Amino acid sequence: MNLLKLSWKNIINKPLNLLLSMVLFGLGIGLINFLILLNHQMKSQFDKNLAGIDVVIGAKGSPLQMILCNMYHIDNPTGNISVKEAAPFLNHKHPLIETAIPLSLGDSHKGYRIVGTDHSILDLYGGNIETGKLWTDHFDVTIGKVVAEELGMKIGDRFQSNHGFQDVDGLLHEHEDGFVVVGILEPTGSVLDQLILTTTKSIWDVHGHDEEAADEHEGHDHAHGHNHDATGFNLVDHPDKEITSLLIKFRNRTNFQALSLPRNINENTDMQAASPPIEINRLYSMIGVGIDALRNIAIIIALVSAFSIFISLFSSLKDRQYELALMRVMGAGRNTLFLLILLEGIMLAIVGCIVGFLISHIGMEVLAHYAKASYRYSFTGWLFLKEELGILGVSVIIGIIAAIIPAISAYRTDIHETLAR
Amino acid sequence: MLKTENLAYSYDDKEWIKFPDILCEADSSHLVLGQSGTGKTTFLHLIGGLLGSKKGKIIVKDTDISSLDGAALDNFRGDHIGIVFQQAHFVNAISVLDNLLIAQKFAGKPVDKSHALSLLDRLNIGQKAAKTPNHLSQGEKQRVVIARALINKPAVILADEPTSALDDVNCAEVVQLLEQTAKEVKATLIIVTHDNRLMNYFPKQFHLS
Repeated sequence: MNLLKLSWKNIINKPLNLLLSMVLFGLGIGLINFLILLNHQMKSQFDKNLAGIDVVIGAKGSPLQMILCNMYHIDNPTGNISVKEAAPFLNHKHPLIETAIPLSLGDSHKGYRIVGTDHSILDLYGGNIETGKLWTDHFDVTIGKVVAEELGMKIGDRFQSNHGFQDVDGLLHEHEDGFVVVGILEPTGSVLDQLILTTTKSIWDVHGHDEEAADEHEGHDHAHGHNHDATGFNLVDHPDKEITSLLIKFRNRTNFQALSLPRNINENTDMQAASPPIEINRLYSMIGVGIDALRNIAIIIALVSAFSIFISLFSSLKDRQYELALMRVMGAGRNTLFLLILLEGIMLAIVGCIVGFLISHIGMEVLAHYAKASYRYSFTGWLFLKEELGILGVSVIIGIIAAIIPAISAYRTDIHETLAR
Repeated sequence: MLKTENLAYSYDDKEWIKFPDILCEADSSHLVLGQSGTGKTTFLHLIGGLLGSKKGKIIVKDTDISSLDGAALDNFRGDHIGIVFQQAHFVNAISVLDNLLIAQKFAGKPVDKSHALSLLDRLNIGQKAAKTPNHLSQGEKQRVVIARALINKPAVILADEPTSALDDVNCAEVVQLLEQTAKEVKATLIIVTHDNRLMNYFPKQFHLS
């Protein structure tokens, strides 16, 4: 029977007090920790998907919306841009641009977005083929790992695409045999896992069955080194067509001309260019206000719970005066009683903190299910951070602060006066 | 062994309560008698080291405890003095056995579970060792209190009105137990009381007035 065990027995001997402290402290710590976990996982999700993209070029509108749509695939497109306007940036010999990846959005399959693009998008996210092959022919699709797992799709499966990003009946595109799955990508942990990749032309084709013949530019002069895939398709040969955006990586991102490129585009074209890090920081600062308010509420709850620990210890001392005097009679020194009460406060705080961790991680796991369903984002409740050790430390300090006055009062227990009563 | 010399105490430094000099050998039992207000509790707390003394000497087993204070007094008290109070009080959150074990712990002695269990058996409450004090009857509680006072084999056992809450049968039993067990550990037994039933049991008596 040591002091730790004794203080533990003392706190579980008052289950209602323990419960109150646990609930209050747990809520406060739980909320704070939840915000930290959410913040961390959101940032790492966003950062992972930045994928070294320096600029996104798309139709004029909200730059944040454009970034969210084309990089994170969680908002609607701002509109389309014409291939003619985009063509200069698709030139391999552009002095500033290392990679320009065209994206055509607008369709989905059971909530997963179909992206018309070329193979260079794989380099952005480090994507590799796991089974099957990459999309080459029109209406071939290569799907991300999450899509394959969630929809149970295999190579050879066929499907019709849905117009728009919601899974709504009646918006199905009727197009011959539809898309066919030719490959599945390795998981990357990025947004790539959630995408269905196909050729740009496939997207055009499901949206309009005309123009096809007119657009075939056999024998075109390819001397200026444009992209063209295995089918001989070359995007810039279709200047009157539209795509949704371009993801741009600079050759040298500190180059002065590269830095001023977005402003030039915004001022001189019908397109807009936006920098992902800037827009994401803007997003953080917008949701930051809400997070700050929540955090302040959590801190108030934590303070109230510290006060409840103080009250519960203090009132239990009144009941236990004789008991404390008795311990002194048995030879316990003043310091021992001081330490005993301090330990009780620390233990209440630690128990509350553990409850808080449970609340926050379970909350995170619940959110993960919700986020997966509506945003296809993979959060998890089972990621533990170094910061949580800090929270545990702060909890212990709160426990000590709450217990210090009761502990001093126990220290001052006057044996003679108490026992003579 | 317990000896006091010129012991006096005052709560306000004006009126002094003077106590008779007493000398009690080890292995002997004594009664300290006095009506209410004669300073019985003060006397008991002084010789038990619960109240710092102001005048005179209190010698317990060759140590003048009036010269000790703070932690030294706490240690000495836990180690050499066992006290039985009028009302049975315990650390209520823990079992009867643990109540004895923390008495060893607080006195700075090694925790000896088998000694504690055999002491409880000796006092016929071995079967209650795992219960918390709330589950005991009044008589059982008093036995546990005696066990706790004996656990560290003290030089002096002080009992403050140990029988005032008990009926005649229990009174006789508790007194006999106190006397026997005190003898077994060769302790001086001092019972402070105004219970006249005890006068027949203990020929050696001091009167406070």
